[in-house]
Amino acid sequence: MSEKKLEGRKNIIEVNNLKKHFKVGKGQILKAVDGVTFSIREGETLGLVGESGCGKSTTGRAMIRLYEATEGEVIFDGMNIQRLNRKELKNFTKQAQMIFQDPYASLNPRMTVGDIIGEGMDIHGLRKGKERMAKIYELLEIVGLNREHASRFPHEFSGGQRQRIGIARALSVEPKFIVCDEPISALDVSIQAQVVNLLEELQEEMGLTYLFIAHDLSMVKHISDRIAVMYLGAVMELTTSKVLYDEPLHPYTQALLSAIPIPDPEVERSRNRIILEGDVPSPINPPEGCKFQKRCKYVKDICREKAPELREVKPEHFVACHIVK
Amino acid sequence: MAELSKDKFIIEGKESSEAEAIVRPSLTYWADAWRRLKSNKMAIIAMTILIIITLAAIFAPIFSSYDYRTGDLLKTNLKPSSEHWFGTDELGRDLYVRVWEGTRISLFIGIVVALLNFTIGVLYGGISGYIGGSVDNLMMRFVDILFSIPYLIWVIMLTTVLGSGLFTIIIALSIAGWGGMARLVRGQVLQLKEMEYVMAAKTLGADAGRIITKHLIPNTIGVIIISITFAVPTAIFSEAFLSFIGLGIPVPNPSLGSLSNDGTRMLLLEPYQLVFPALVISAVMLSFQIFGDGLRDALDPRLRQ
Ligand SMILES: Nc1ncnc2c1ncn2[C@@H]1O[C@H](COP(=O)(O)OP(=O)(O)OP(=O)(O)O)[C@@H](O)[C@H]1O
Ligand SMILES: [Mg+2]
Repeated sequence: MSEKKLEGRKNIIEVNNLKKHFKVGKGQILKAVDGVTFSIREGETLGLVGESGCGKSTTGRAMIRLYEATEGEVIFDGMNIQRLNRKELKNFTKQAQMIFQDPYASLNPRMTVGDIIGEGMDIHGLRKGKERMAKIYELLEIVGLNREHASRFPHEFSGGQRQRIGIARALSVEPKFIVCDEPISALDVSIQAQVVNLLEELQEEMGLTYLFIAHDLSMVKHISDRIAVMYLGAVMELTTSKVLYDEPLHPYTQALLSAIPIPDPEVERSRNRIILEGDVPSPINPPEGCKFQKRCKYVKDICREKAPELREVKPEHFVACHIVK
Repeated sequence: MAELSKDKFIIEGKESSEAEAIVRPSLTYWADAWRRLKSNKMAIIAMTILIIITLAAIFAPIFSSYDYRTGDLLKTNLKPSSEHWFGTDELGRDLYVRVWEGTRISLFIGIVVALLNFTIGVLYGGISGYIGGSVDNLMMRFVDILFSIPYLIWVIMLTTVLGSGLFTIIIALSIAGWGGMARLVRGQVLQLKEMEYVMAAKTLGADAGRIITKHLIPNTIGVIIISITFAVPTAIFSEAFLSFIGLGIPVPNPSLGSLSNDGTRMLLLEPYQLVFPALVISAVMLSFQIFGDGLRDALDPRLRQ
């Protein structure tokens, strides 16, 4: 893992107390994202990890304004993205892009690969005719495909190849920031490493910033500079990858980490597994106080009364827990 | 999982360039659909029959020396002969001309009703699904109400207001029919607009117009075409039924339904008067059904091998 120098870099995107609630009929409100705060520095990769349904995709989508936030704000490059006018919004879409989770649903089956990759350029009127084709060929080669693929249709490609097409599409408008929404979860393990390597190379060459979403800590460790652990719409712990692995403080992070097998039978045998009891509660009418209380073995009275704030307990190490001192 | 570099991954047994090559020839959706339709013999036969019937309906009345309205009272109820290929009816009118003229009117009704259903249904359903939320809810409740009124009621109401005729039947069948198309399109749009490729287009800054024309329509058009193909025979049959019970096209204009109705009255004496219109209407219905099935197999990508 390459150690990047991140101190002193400025934040490219800041998320302040972001909330996204969905109305789900009969006056019920689903709190998919419920007060999330973090920031990402230029050139950094922030891993966002949590179990299925905890609101990772919703956070990512609200950050690029695919969803209107219910509350809170997202500041990109000093601009509040909720307050952009039409022209500014269009300009914003050139700078912030997304790579999607499902390589089979994220490419329009009726468009050629060339038109899929060229769509961004068409929308923004960036390049036309020969220049456009040249850029499409260039992008195809950058992501490890070749120019003959431009005239083909998505169904002719494998999952890994489709994900590369999705990456080329995101790159076509030369963005600064990309939300990678579980880009490797649907792929075979051998292909996962290739796609992660590609994303890392691209980051190095183009100075990209990533929000890298995954549901499994082992997937983000390699690529992330810092990792945020999410549970039921809230961030539980946020720190550098190394510290998160070596000294996790939040009981939930500890449980997640102990679920990852260690490739050493000696260590693996002597390890104390922390088993999480019960299922993730529903984000419809979540409990008062700490979101994790129902599955936490250290739970105290205060956890049921008051939601813990995300505090900086050590430099660069944020935890939302009443128990951690 | 500390160090992962590209050179640690080798594709065994294949050159890397070969690994990326795709064997299947690249075909557009339409070329591929046509290839599949062609390989379906029944559908091609049905299509050929439909083309022949349509051509006959257009040209047979033009090139015949008889007129479908005027009969020769000295030549009533003649059996089929070299002079009158399908015989004559009780007013001495040539049945060959009348059958094809009736086919022409029936096909016209079927196609016009199907196109009206298509236009209204796609616009209404598309808007409803695209906007979604409470607007969608309201628009669909309206369709439910319209849909709960049988078309027979519409025909009777419209006949009292507009009088009977081709126009009335077309309007009545369209009012009763577009809701089905609207529901279909709305369902498709509702489903497609949550697809990640639509999100991707929005992320790239696409406006509603682009999303509708480049993403939603191309991905629903197959289903819509299939639905139109089935709407045509449905309208033809509804009209035939109306003519059969005396609510259809007024005399002396024939339709396949009114000709069959006339034929049944003479069934015991002159069975051929029912045979020809019944044969044509059966051929039309069956061919549309088989052709529609074939189209569905050809256009539905889920069946792609
Ligand atoms: N458009 C929507 N309307 C209503 N509820 C939604 C909507 N989108 C997401 N949700 C709900 O919000 C919660 C969070 O969903 P989200 O997709 O953000 O989870 P996730 O962490 O990305 O999960 P996964 O790992 O399965 O992708 C889920 O309970 C989901 O059912
Ligand atoms: Mg998700």
